Amino acid sequence: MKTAVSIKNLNKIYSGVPPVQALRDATLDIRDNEFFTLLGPSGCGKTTLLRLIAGFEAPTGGSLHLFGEEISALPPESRPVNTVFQHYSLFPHMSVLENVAFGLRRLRKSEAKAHATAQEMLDLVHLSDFAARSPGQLSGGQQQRVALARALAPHPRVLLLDEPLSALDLKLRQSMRAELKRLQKETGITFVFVTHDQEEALAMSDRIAVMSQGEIQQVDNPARIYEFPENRFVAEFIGDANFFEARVGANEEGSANYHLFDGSKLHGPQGHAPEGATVTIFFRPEKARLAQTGLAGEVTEILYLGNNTDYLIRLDQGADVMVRSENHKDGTALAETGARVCVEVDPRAIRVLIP
Amino acid sequence: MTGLRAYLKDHAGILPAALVIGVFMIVPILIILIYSFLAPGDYGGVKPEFSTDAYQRLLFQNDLFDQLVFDPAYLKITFRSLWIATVAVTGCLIVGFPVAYYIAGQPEERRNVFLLLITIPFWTNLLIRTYCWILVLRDTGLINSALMALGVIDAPLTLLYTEGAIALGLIYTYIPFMVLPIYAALERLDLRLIEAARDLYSSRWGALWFIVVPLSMPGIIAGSILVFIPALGAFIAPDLLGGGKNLMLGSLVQLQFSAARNWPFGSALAMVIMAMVLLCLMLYARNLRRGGGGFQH
Amino acid sequence: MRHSDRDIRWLPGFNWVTLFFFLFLYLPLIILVVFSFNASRSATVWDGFSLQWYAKAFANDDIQRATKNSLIIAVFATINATTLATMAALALGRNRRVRRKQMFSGLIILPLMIPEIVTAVATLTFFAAIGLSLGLGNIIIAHTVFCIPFAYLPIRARLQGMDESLEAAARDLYSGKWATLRLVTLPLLMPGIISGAMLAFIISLDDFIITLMVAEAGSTTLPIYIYSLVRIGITPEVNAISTVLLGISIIIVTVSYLIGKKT
Repeated sequence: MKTAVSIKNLNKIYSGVPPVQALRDATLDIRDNEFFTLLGPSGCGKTTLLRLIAGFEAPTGGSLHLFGEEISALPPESRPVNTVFQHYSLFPHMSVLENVAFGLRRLRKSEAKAHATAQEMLDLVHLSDFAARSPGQLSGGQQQRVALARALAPHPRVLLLDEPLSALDLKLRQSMRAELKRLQKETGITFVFVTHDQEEALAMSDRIAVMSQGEIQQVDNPARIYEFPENRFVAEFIGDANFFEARVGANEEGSANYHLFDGSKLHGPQGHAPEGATVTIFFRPEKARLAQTGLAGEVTEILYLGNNTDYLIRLDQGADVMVRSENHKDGTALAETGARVCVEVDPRAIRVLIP
Repeated sequence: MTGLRAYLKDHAGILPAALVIGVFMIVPILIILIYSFLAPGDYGGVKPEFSTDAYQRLLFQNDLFDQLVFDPAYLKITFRSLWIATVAVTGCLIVGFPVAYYIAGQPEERRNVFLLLITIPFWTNLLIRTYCWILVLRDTGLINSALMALGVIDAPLTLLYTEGAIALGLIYTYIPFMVLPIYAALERLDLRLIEAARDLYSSRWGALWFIVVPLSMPGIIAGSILVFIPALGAFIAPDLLGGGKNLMLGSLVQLQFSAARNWPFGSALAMVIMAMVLLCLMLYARNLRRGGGGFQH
Repeated sequence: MRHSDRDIRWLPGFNWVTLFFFLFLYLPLIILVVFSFNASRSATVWDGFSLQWYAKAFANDDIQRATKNSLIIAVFATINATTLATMAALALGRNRRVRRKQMFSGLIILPLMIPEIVTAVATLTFFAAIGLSLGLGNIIIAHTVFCIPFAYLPIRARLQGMDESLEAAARDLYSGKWATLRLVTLPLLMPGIISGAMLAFIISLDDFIITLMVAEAGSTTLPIYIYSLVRIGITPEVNAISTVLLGISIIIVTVSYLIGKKT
C-alpha cells in the first residue's frame, strides 16, 4: 500500500517567551486512500500538524514527504493538498461557484473546464442550485459543503479537514459524518481529519492517531484504539475507564491474578509485567456488570442515559467504580441509590497498562 | 550586507511611510528643539548662537534697566490654555458619555445611523463651523435676540470673546473624539455583566457606576487625551471666538512665527506644548500597562 | 410595557442628553445652510429666498482659484497617504518578518499625537531650513504626512477584522503571494482603503493651520481664503460655498456608508 504522507521526527517550536513546543518528534505514515484522523484535546498539536502538512507553517525540524517527495520547503500553493477550514473561510466577495472554481482557475485550467468541474463538485455536495448565491446567504451546513466542494475541486492528493464539523449542531453533524465518509469513498482521496470529538473519530476513521501535548500517543484503527489503548492517556481520552493500581500475582496458563491495593482481587489476562510488579489495570464500565459475586460495594449515584444507565459504586475498600448497564427490558433500573451490590468483571475485559 | 538587504526586503512595506513621517515630522520637531536654543534672526529665522533667552522669556522679562524680572504673562497664558482644555475635556465627557451609552444601547441599524450623524459635521470645514458660533453668540446673535425678544434680559449678554466661548467652540469641535472611543468600549461591553450587577442588587445607577464606567475607562481615557491634545494647541477657536484677547498657547506660537518674527521663542513655546503632550501620553501608556480596565486582552 | 421598564440598560435622561447633543452638533450647520439662501447680507434676519450668493460664489475668481488649489492638494495628498498607509498596514498586519512592529505602528500614528500648531511651525521651519520651495508641492508633502494616520486607521481596523484563514485558503488553492494579495486581500480590504482615502481627502481639504504656516504666496487654499474673509467680515458667499462642500461631503459619506453596509 502506498504512503500518502510520511512524517519523520517532525518538530514545531513557536518562538516566544517562553517558546512553545507544539509538536515533538512526530513520526507517522498516512496511507493512500485512507480516512485518517488526528484526535486529541485542544492544544495537543493536531492542528499544528495539519497546518504543517498544508504548508501554512514551516517545521523547525524533521522531514515531511508527500508521496515520496520532500515538501517542507514548498509554499502552500505548490502542494497538491487542500484544506477545509474550521470556519469554512469562504471568500465573501465571490459567489459560491467562484469560490469552488477558485483553485482550478489558479491552476490555469481553462475557464470552461473550471466552470464544469465546479458545477460537478456542487452536484456532489447537493448544492448546484446555490451556485450564484453569495456565501453569506447560506446556512452553516451549506457553507460547510461549499468549503468541501472548493477543497475537492482541484482534486488534491490529500484533503485536510480542520474540525470541519465543530461549528454545526448535533443532527447536522451526524448527517455530515456519513456525507464525508461517502465523499471519501467516491473520490478516493486521502482524508486527514482533525477533531477533538472521540465519537466522531471512532465512527468515521480507518485509522486514528491520538495526540497529547505535542506528541503522538498511539496510531491504530478505531477498534484497537478503544479496546487496546497503549497508555493511560489514550484509555482515558477515548471512552470511560475504571483504573486500578495493582500488583501482579501468580500466573496460570496465560492469565494472572491482580491484587488491588485495597485488598480485593481481579482475574485478568497476563500482561508483559513479571510477577510482583506494580501495574495499572483498567476495564471499561460497560464490560462490568452488577451481580451476586465480585467486588462488593454500595451504589452512590445513578446517571440515567436513555439507552444505558451509569451506576457509580463505592467499593467497600474505598475505590469508586462505574458500571454501565442496560436497563431491564421493562424499563426499570437494576439498582437504587444506596443498594448493596457486587461488581463482576469479565477477565477478558481487564487491560494491563505498562507503567 | 546581505543582512541589510534582507531587512530592506522584509520591511519594504513599512519603511516608506516610516521614512516620510521620520523625515517630515520627527526631523522638523528636532529642528525646532534646536532652534529654541538659538537667538532670533532679525527678520524671522535664527542666528547660529546658543541662547536660553527663549526659555527665560517664558518666566522673566528684561525691564528698563536690563534686569531680569519675573513676568507671569506667559505663565498665565499657559495656565489659561490648560484650564480651557480641561474645561473642554470635562464638557465633552459630561455630554459625550451619556450619548455614547445611549447609542451603544440602540439596535445595530440605528447605531450606525447615529454614528454617521456624528461624523457628518466633522466633514465640514472647521472654520465655517466655528464661524457659525459667532452668529449664535454675538450681541445681535441668535441667543441674545431670542432672550431679548422673550423679555428675559434688557441688554445683550456678553457671550462672544470670552473664555466660555472658546471652551464651547472646543467642545463643539472635538466632542466626536470623545464619543467615538467611549462608544467603541461600550459596544464591546458584555451586557450580561449589567444583568449580573442588577441581579446582585445594584440599582441602574449603581450598575453604571460600578460596572459600566470602570469597564469603559480605556475609552474614556483615550477620548480625554484625543480631546485634550488638540484643545491645548488650538488656534481657530481662540482666534475667532476669543477675539485675540484671550490668547492661548496655540495662537501665541503662531504669532511668534508670523507677526512677531521670534522663531526661537515660538519654538520654545511649541516645546512647552510638546512637553505637556508627552506627559499626557506617558500617563496614558502607564495606564495601559496597568491594564486600564477590562478590555485589554 | 414601556421600553424603559424592559431594558435593563436604560438610564433615564440619557436620551435627552443625546437629543441635546445632536441639536448642538447641527444647529450651526442649519444656520449656515439657511442663511446661504438669504436674500440679504444678514446672517441673523431672514429676508426671503435667493440663490444670489451661490451665483456670486461661483463667479468669484478667488474662490475658484482657492478651490482648485485645495482640490489638487487633497487629491495628491490622499493618493500618497493612502498608498503609504495601505502598504504599512499590510506590512504590520500580515508580514511576520517585520520586527519592532509596536515602534512602527506608534510612528505611523505619531502625527495624530502632535498638536497641529507644533506640526505647522516645525514643518515651516524645516522647509525654510532646507530651502524647499515647490509651491503647492510643499503643502502636498505636509498634508501627506498628517493624512497617513487618518488613512491608516480604517485600513488597519478592516485588516484586523479580516479572517487570516481566507488568505491561507487562497494560498492553499494555488495562489502565490501576489495573486493572493490581488484576488483576496485587496478586494476584501477595499472598504477600509476607501474610507481611509475619504478621511484623508476631507482632512486635507479641511486643514487650515498647517497650510497657513506652510503655504507660499499664490498657494491660497479654500480654508485660508475663508479665514481672510472671516477676519474682515464674512459674506453669505462663504455660506454658499460651504453649503456646497457640506452637500458633497454628505453625499460621499453616505455613499461610502451604504457601500460599507453591503459588504
